[in-house]
Amino acid sequence: MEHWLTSVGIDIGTSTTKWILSRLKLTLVSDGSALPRYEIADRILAHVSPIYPTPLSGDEAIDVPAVVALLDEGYAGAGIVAEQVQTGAVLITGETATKRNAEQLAHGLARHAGPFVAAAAGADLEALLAGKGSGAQRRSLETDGIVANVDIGGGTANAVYFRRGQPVATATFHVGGRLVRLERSGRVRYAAPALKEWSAGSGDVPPLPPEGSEASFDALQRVCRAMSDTLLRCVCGEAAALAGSKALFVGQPAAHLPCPAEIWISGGVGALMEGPPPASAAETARFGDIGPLLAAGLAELAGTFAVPVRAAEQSARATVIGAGTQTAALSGATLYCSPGVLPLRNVPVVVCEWPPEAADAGTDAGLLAHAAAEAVARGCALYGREQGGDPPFALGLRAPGYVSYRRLSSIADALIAAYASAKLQESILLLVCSNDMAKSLGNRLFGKLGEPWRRKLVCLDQLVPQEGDYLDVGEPLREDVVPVIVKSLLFGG
Amino acid sequence: MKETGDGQGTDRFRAWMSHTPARLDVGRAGTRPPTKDMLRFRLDHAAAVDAVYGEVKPETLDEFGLFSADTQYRDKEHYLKYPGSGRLLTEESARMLADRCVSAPQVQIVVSDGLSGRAIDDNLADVLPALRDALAVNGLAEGTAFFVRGGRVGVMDDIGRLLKPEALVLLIGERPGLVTAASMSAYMCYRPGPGRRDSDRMVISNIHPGGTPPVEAGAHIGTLLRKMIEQQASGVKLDV
Repeated sequence: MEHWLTSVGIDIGTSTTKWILSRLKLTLVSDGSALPRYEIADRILAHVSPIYPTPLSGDEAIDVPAVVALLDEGYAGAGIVAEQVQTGAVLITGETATKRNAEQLAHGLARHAGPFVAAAAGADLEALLAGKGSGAQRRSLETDGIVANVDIGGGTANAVYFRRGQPVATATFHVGGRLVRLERSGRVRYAAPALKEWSAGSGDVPPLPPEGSEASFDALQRVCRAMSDTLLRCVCGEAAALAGSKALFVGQPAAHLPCPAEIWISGGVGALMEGPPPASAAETARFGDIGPLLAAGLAELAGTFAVPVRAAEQSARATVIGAGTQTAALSGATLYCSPGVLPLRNVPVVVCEWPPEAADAGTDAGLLAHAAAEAVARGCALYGREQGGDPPFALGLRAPGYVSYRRLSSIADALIAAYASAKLQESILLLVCSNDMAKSLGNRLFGKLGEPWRRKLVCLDQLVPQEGDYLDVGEPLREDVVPVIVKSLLFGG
Repeated sequence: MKETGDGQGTDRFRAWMSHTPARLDVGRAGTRPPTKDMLRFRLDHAAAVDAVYGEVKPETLDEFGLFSADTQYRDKEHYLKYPGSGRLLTEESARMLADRCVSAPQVQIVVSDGLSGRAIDDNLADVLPALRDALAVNGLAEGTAFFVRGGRVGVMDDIGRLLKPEALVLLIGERPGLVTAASMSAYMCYRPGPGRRDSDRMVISNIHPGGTPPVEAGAHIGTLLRKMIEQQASGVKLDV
């Protein structure tokens, strides 16, 4: 038995904007005598857009009407009706407009992205999606060592490390093609503050040509080589490189990073690595920045670097392919969902960790009640009803070990008491269990809740969102298939 | 002493091992497995044999107020040699059902020891209440649940002949194995009766804390029973 989902990915980056449409095949993978389990068994790229320059109004903000017009035209050209889109993600990546009008953009694109879409960006999520879209994650399943994917776009370089398909670390650097903008004469129009700080901070780094000056090709080449060298050494976790490059880190500088067995480069700069290197300042500046020369620096270094470095299978579109094909997860198929409650969007997660089971039922019930009350109080404090939606938050339930019926029943009591005392009886009860127990917990709660609360209950499982993640929960495709997007950071946190 | 491979691809092998409880890469001591693993193997085998010969504890049945009926199994030895004897109730038990059970219920729940009494002792307290919650959520009415001593899966048809339920679910102890000796199956059939075949029945198997989670199995069985009654079908004819 199979079912298809239509998913869109839209990536609005510092330099370029692109989108894809994909078809995801849901397949029942469990055998008939087990509980049903669905997986996304195949991902087909149905449409790939050209790569457009990102429409900006000034240097500061995304030109929302222009982006909307671009997508309108693209959808019409490809014969796509927005209503067919069932899941996916809009990513505002890199330094784009410092993400200031991200929310405005998300609203503008809500129609194109279907009734259920994530408008998310955050460096870690970008890195992860790029690594999945580039093919690096799949590569890590074929090899024993760690495979790092470094997605280098206009504004940032997002690194993710995979071991046997699992992400084990991420890091983001101020390294990108558009961090130094050039005119064809070699005149420097703009240099990013982080690069200036990095260049000024160390004697080993060649000086960055000052803004307004005409830089020689030679000087530009030295800077690009140094950026490439520093980036790759940092990606390999070299202690001296990490210590000397604190200014290049976006967010908290990493003290340690694992040493990969292979480095894949994706993103716009990754795509340029395969072309001929520029031979002059004018050739370098063909996109108005140092991107081609940075790519040449990386390609040159790749030949001699201690760790194999290669351009990714999917380079320029790695992130958008990841966004379009890899963001949807599925809840465990035995779930509970009141009719008409879904979809739900942008629900923050509060984690409730259940204590280990106590031998005595009464003691255990007390411990569970305490844990639930504490988590719900924290949820109310963080996402109170005044500013919050319905539900104000989802509770991520984590139980250590086996959950018996006795414990399940005490958990249901604990949740009802906690929500009732926090005066959340009117709001939707959205529960996400790490253990396979959503249907039985939902059934138990249904039996214990009063009207109309019992009609506003959603229980999902086999998903482990982290505290502060945001969830988009889609409409059920069948009684037992609910697509979920777990957004690790929203609008850069 | 424990020997393993040469370290080539060990990571990958460990990753594969995490998907199975099978006894892989235990190493060896001389020409036989290490003592610990050898003893573990014999312990698990003994537990499997004990489970077959054990009886369901009276407390388990009392907890849910289940009365006991008997098949024509006579004793364990006869039961093992003649599986057919476990598919028919004794005349006395048949009279007892007629006497004590609601006739023609929507859902009939039956519990049986089958090949592992321990499966019932260990899992009934988690499966049965979760199943009853699920019946309530799905709007299904239950008949009079009871226990069958010496049952085989085919006893569903004899009970179906006597009580004429719309749907019947049999919670029965599975043949014990070396991974667990306390695994339960739930067999389900729409309008069971003489002449029903295996293809008319469905099963959720491997129900124990290390396999199909018992509470979630109970919940899912409720959904399946509703679908069976809605579609008036079970087994291969049911669109799950």
